[in-house]
Amino acid sequence: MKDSVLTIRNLSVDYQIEAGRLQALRQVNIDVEKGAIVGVVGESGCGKSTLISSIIRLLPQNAIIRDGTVEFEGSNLLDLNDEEIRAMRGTKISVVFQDPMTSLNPVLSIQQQMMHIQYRDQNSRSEKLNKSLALLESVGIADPRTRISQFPHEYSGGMLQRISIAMALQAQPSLLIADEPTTALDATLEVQIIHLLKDIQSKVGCSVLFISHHLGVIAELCDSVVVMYAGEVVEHGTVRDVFHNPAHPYTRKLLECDPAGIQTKTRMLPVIPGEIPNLVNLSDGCIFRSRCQSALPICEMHVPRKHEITSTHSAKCHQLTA
Amino acid sequence: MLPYILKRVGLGIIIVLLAVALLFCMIHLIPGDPARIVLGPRATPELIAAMSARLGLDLPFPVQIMRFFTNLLRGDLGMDVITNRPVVEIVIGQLPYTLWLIFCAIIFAGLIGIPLGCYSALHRNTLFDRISGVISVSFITTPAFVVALYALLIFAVALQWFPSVGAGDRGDWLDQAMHLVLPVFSIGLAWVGYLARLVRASMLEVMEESHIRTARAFGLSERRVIYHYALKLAILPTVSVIGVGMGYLLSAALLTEIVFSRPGIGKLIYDSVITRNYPVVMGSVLVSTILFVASTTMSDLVNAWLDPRTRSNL
Repeated sequence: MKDSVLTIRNLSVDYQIEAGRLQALRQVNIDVEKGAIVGVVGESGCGKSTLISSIIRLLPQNAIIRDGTVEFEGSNLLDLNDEEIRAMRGTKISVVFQDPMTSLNPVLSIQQQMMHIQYRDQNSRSEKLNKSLALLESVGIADPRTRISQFPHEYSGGMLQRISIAMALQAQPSLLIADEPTTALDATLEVQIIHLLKDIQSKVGCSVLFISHHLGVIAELCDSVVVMYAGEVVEHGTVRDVFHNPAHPYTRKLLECDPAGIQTKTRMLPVIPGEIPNLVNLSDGCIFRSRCQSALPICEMHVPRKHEITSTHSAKCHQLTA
Repeated sequence: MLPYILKRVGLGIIIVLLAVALLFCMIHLIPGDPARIVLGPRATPELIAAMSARLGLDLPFPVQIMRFFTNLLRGDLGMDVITNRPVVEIVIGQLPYTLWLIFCAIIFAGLIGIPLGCYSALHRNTLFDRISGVISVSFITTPAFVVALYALLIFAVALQWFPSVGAGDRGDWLDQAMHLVLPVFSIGLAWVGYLARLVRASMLEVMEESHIRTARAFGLSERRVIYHYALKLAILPTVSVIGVGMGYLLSAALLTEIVFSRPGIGKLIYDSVITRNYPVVMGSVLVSTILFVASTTMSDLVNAWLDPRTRSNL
């Protein structure tokens, strides 16, 4: 096995809300190997954002990390104190956020923001400026010298996402977390950004944790996939495993619902009936059972355990063991 | 930035001119002959006619308003009917007292209210936040003249820390400053509460925005995130409110100047209304209008300077 950059083990995160404890993540295991691109896919509310926030420790105040470890380059991120984790952010671990139009400060120029994030370096102002210009150039911003003094609202969404990527790569991190970086962009820009990410990843050599609900993008970009449902990892494997031989009913449904995979003309797009279950006061049993068409009696009683299909492919479903 | 400034200043001038025209019409619509009122009930018709001619009231209305505007452009606001001094001189003489009062009150409110709001927002739902919330609201709801009366009773009469009446000796800065303390406190107190609430609310809103998360995800220090990334945005609504607030403080200043017998525009308006001294009323209201428009324009310009989005929209 190759050495891992990020190893998440049994991560469980709750949110304390008025109705009780919302179990947003339950026993999540994810491995990101050195230089690999790992996709995390799942519908809204499945815990993707909580996952990212747990890694960089920017969870809301009402979040409680109940269990688990997040090993990153030999240290457990959950054990670090505030200063130690802050030293990791933006240097070892960088994040590209979802909506580029709102993820940069609207009243500070790109130059100011790019200079601020280099505050740890001992370089002079002009060296920092030159580095920023080079970064902008590397992500394809034309005429960076005049554009760098502009403000976020003077850029288009695609350009801002390029800038976000440039900023995230500023310190050559070992892990880049991309939180649905293309969701807010239109389809042509999406392709450009994906290519840019892949390109830069191969140059910098960092690992990427790529969060998306777009299956096509995951298939195009990633080496392996983690399928999440309602706060659990239900299936995990290489892109080939998961897309060609989906083992979990949820993954199969998800692939059926992908409009890109539909061959016949239809007026009704397929959907997965039902909703994500309420994660407050969870009862025992499989989390997907209420929406699963092939649920067995055992699914009501026990949480399915992880079943290894091959050495690279695993899923949590009673049907695999039954 | 320059086109924006020109545009805002031009707009300000138009607003002042319109407001003055409206004011002029309103004064003329009020029943009663100003000449008769000035001269009192026992004035002879000849005297009234002479006074009307002196004030230009015998001319047709359009001529009067034209004359008023041409005089205005020359900086001539007419003569005080009672002392026979130029109104401009009187108003300019009183203006600094009121300007200092309002200016100090806003500084006082800002220096206490803004940090208080920030601190409350960053320590949301703590005991401090709740107490400051209750205190802020009670400050807001207490009228300035009530605060003025109690401040006078407690700090001037009972404790004798500060002088009670007037504006202090001319040329003696310390004495003038001491005379400012209680009036500034009286009209600024409500604004302490108001600004604290406002800053708290906008700070809470900004801290939830996703660019704050980005700033933190880059490992920027919490100090920089709060004071550089959040406060610069959260302060924008406050700047606008202060601009309008300067105008409202003028009316608070009126009552406070009367309570403390301080000279100033408020006292001048009050006295000249009591004595039916229309040119002075007109002049002081005009100055108040200009002050109001100037302060809102200033706050717009400050906002544009702080917020590049406003700047490029115009």
